[in-house]
Amino acid sequence: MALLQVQNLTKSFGGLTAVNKVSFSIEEKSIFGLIGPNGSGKTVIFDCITGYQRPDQGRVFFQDREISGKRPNQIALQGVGRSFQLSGVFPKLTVYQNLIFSVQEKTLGRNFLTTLRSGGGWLPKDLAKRIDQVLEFTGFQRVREEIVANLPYGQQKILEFASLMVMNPDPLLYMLDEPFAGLTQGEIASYLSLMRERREKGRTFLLVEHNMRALMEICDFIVVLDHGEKIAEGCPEEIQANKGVVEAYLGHGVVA
Amino acid sequence: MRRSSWKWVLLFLLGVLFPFIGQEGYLTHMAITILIFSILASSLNLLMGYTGLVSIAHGAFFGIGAYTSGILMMRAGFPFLAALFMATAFTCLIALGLSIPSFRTKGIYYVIVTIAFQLIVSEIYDGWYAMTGGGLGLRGIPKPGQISLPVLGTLSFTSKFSYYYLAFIFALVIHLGIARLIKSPVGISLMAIRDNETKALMMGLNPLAYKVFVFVLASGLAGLAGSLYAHYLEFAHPDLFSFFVSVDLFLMVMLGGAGTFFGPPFGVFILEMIREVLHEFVALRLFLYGVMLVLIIIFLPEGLLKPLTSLAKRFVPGRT
Repeated sequence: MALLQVQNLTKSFGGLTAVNKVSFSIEEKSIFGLIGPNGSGKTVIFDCITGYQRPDQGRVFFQDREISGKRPNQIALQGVGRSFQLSGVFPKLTVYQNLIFSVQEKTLGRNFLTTLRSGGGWLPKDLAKRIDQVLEFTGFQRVREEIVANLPYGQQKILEFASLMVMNPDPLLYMLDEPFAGLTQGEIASYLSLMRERREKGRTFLLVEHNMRALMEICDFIVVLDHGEKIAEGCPEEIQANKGVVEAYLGHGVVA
Repeated sequence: MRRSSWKWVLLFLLGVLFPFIGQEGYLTHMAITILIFSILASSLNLLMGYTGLVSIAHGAFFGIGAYTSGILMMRAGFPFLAALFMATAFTCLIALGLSIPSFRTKGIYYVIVTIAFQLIVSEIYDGWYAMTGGGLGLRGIPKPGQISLPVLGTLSFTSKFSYYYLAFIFALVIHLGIARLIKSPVGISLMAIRDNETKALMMGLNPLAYKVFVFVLASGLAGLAGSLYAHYLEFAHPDLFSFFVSVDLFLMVMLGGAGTFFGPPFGVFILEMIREVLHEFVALRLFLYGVMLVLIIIFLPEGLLKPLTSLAKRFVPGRT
């Protein structure tokens, strides 16, 4: 069954068509890659799926329910977790507070009632335990009281993923915008191991990434965009053999 | 009891026993002022420090509470507690009305909206002569006499000595409430919005709801402080709630440390002390304020309290 379906998505800014009639669907429990040169519309597609921008045309379905036109917070609460190209953490909060924010309720009304009822010791034991597990698993236990801005960039990105792992409600689809950009080989390896753990739990991934080696290794299916249009799709082997893709990246007349 | 809690017990005792030192004199007057302004600074800190919303309209809300409470008690014969409650509620209502259009703007534009609101409201205080007394001020606001409480019986707050306790209890309860709020899920959500609003939104939170909530809460607290202030001074005047008061409050929060719990009340204390020392030199005071603001923003963006405590720790060994 397709977890996410994108149908004829179109988005223009002024006279520029950033995304032009793009369709694809993501199977449950797969790792889906979205690639293309800079400016080919990958991030715009992310924004349209998560509701941060409203598509001009086309529809998006998540678990067979239409989500296009809904607000970003509503879409997130249906089980879509998104990471950001530049770090998507809360820099002045501690590592632990970042995870608490992720794990806690998001509605004001419920949070306010919790505040009135229990104040400081509000975090339920099972959630605290869940955070501790993830801290242990990701190796952040040592720095749990550290202000996130003091962590190296790569660690911040891994923390962002860790916060999606504890997110409430638990995301079924992870949308990762260039997760490996700026990371060292070691950091990429630990990022991948976290993704693998989630995948074994049955989660689905949509990746935008420029690191081809990591991408080809991990993806089940890839869609290639150029100038807002879909120019190829297929499994990694097919994409690597596709002449149009090579041209889009390197220009005409070059053989990789 | 842990060792560190002793200093809070001492501070609390000092708070309780202070009027016995100050009696009906000037010291008690200053203490009452500091208590009322600490409510203002800490509520503004909820906006500035914890949510990242700089508001230069806090003086205006302070005034709305003061005038409403005074007018209700003088002209409509409300008892003190009812006037205080109604003034707080009315201030919340105005804040709600302002917050809905103003949160369409962001960053510096939002600050400009709050400044505009402050200036408009100041003009109303000055111009609505029939209601506010205009430039002459609202004179003869009664002190709260004869409050009937369930356990304590009938209390009167006409002396400085007793009014101090009224302000003390309000300030204490409000600060305990704020301390609890900033550690709660609501507080963490506010800080998340401050740090990265887009990310918070993408994790399923509705930032607008939280911003409106905290703006209404902080403004309501300013209104409550206004009511306490008006009934204490028995007087309200546009100058007490002007643009410059809003800037003072901004400075108090910055001076103590925005986003720290104890910073803003400490900033109130420092600024009131400076005001006392420079009592005679009005022009010099404004000059000094300006210089201080620039120095803080450049050298001490975290405020005075943090560097001072770490300095104190270095010179007082063996304590943590």
